[in-house]
Amino acid sequence: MSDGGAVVLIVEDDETARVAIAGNLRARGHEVDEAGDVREALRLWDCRRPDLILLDLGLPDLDGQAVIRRVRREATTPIIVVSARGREEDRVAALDAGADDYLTKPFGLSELHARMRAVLRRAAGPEADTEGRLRLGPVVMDVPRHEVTVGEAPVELTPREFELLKVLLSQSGRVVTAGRLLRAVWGTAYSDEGHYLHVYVSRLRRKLAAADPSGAAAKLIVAEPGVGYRIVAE
Amino acid sequence: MALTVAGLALTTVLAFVLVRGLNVPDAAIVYLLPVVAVGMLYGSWLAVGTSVAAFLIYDFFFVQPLYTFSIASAEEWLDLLLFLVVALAIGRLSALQLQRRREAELRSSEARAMFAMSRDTANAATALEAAPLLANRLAREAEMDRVWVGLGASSAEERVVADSRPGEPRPPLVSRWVLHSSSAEAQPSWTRVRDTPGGRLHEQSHDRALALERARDQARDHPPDQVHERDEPVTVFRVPIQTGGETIGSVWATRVHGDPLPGRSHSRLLAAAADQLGQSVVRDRLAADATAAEVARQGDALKSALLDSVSHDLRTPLSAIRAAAGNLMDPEVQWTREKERAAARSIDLEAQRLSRLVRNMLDLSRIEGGALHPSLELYDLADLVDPVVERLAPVLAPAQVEVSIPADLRPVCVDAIFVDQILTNLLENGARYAAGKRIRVTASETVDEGVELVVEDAGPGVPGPELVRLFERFYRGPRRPGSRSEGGSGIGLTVARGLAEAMGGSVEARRSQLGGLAVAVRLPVEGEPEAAEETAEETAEETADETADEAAEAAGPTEPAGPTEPAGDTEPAGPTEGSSVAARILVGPE
Repeated sequence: MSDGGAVVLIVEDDETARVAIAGNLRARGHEVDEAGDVREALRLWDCRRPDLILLDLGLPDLDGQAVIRRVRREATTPIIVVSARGREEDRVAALDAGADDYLTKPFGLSELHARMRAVLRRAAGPEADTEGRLRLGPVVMDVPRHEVTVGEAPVELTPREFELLKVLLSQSGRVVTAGRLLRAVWGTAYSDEGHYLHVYVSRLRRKLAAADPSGAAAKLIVAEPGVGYRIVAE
Repeated sequence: MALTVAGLALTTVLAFVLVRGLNVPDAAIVYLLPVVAVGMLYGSWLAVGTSVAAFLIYDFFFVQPLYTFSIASAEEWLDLLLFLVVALAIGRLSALQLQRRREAELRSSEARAMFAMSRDTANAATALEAAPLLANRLAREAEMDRVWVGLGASSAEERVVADSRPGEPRPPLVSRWVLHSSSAEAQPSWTRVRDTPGGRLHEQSHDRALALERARDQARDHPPDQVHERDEPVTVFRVPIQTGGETIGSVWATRVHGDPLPGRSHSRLLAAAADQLGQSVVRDRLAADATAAEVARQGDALKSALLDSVSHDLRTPLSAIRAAAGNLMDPEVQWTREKERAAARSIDLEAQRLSRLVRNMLDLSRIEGGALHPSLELYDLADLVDPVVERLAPVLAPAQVEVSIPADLRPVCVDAIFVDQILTNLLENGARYAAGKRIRVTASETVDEGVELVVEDAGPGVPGPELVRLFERFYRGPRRPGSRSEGGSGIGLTVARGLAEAMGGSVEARRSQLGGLAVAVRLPVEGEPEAAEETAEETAEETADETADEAAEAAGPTEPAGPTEPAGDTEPAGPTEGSSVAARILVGPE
């Protein structure tokens, strides 16, 4: 697909990997800036204002989280973090700090392209249309009227299921951490009740699937093991 | 003493009866009775005294002239002297008897105590376990006020490991009696040691007999100590614990101040206890050394076996990568776009293979090192299985993978990364041996409400007797003609088992209905099976909660309403959930 044209900042201290990725993205029509540490990354952020940041969390000078905090103070630019296997807590912290998505090393370029497409698309499009409707694939949520339809079929949701779907839809394509979902839907006291979330996500999926004979709606909500959920139409 | 006098008086009465009443000419022999009795009861010296007293009494009451100590006839003199000699001899013999009996008792109780102590030591697994048993036994058998055991190279470094009166403050050890262990067999030799104010040890040897007396003199010579000594309520004894000439601790004992030094038997008990503790410590050290050596040996063996096992697996993808990259870089060759892609794809696949191998190696070392910490969360199994199968599809080709997981399967309570790795290993293993045939992934609930994930293939399978060995480290299936490679590193299934067990699950290998191997992974689920009443209760709570929620929303700014009672609602949704959800909406406030 032709998804070029964005200014991408790659923050990665391993030069081989950085050069390979940068070369690929340039070949695909993006403009690419490269940084090997946090200082350089922040300098490039200040003077270039990229459209997307690909951020490795293990950097030599400072924690990659510093970049996320700084960028989030100033803009909603999409950030995809890269972390090694076994550092799931870093990943969750980065997502909670405002990163949009993550990749686990080692990853393939096709995975990277898919994630970049998703976050760029989300950044470009409005979250809700003028009438306050959220759409994803066959799912349409009319927020003011508290109505959800799949295809043309109405779906009855409890207030909490509605909230859950609303949070996911408004962040569509993004990973929403379990803690954030729990806080958004149930309140701060419940941020550790991961089992709860699982039960509600299961119900929500079943209701969406039941309303959609094609079966596409059943796969809308994707579990991100150890992190949270995302809603995505493929 | 009182009994002796009473005995003599009684005998005199008896003699009067015999002589005056029954006209027995000579009643002297009757006096041998108290002599024998006293000798047997009180020992030699009192027996001699009794003999002499009997001699005088008989002379006074029954020898002419009566009621004087003078003796008229020479014949009487002879009789009386003979009586005295016999009385002395008999008294002495009886006393000896007493002494022997006492010694025998002492020896047998010492032997019993020795035996009990060696049994204590033998039964205890370590010196630390033996020490309290020995301390309590010594306090009883060696008649000590208190016994404690310290281990350490010197008194200052000693750590008390056992005390017959735990918790009570221990007396100051400024001055003490030390037993020389070398003399344990012969006469015990206690030496007085005291710490002088200068900090040096002041030591002086003593004969046991003189020891106490000398000590008293010494105390008089050292006025500051004398004051101290008066404060000391107890006498402290120390028996060093030695092994191979090195002191490793002490048995400490106290007696109330003024009690005698321990006798031979008690000293021997103390020395024996110290010896046994010493041997026990040596035994512990040997055992610890042996364990450490075994651990190191096994660790080394594991490392070298791991390296042997994986070096081939590491090299194969590396050579493939270098060959493909070399081709691409070769300036002499003009590659078609198609060929270039194929080369790049093989680099990518081989790199993924390497990456999986590295993961397995890391996991194996974590499993072996006991460093696995699963973070268990609830998942729908399909959420975990589908991405792995999708990701591995290119690697598994040409084998076809069928996945069939029921939509209403109970959620599993697992570490997602572990399940990913287990499934990756099982699929890769299946692809290796199935040689392009079918691979099937199924999940089902077991009769006891668990969840079982089964990966099976249509390959040649593993012969029955080999099935049990499948999960052993470095086990490789039998080589088959036509199989794609010569087997894996032999760690994939071992890692799968280790990961499954770390989550509280298990693995099992059996023959598949497809003809090949089936590996079943039992995955943990959360809590108890859901009962029908619980579902109903949950529905009721849910309805009430939704009402409250709705009311709050209608009232204005949403106050975050908490979920329903965690106890009622954390229960994972069961298979009947779909219908109960539908019912709930109908009765709900919406």
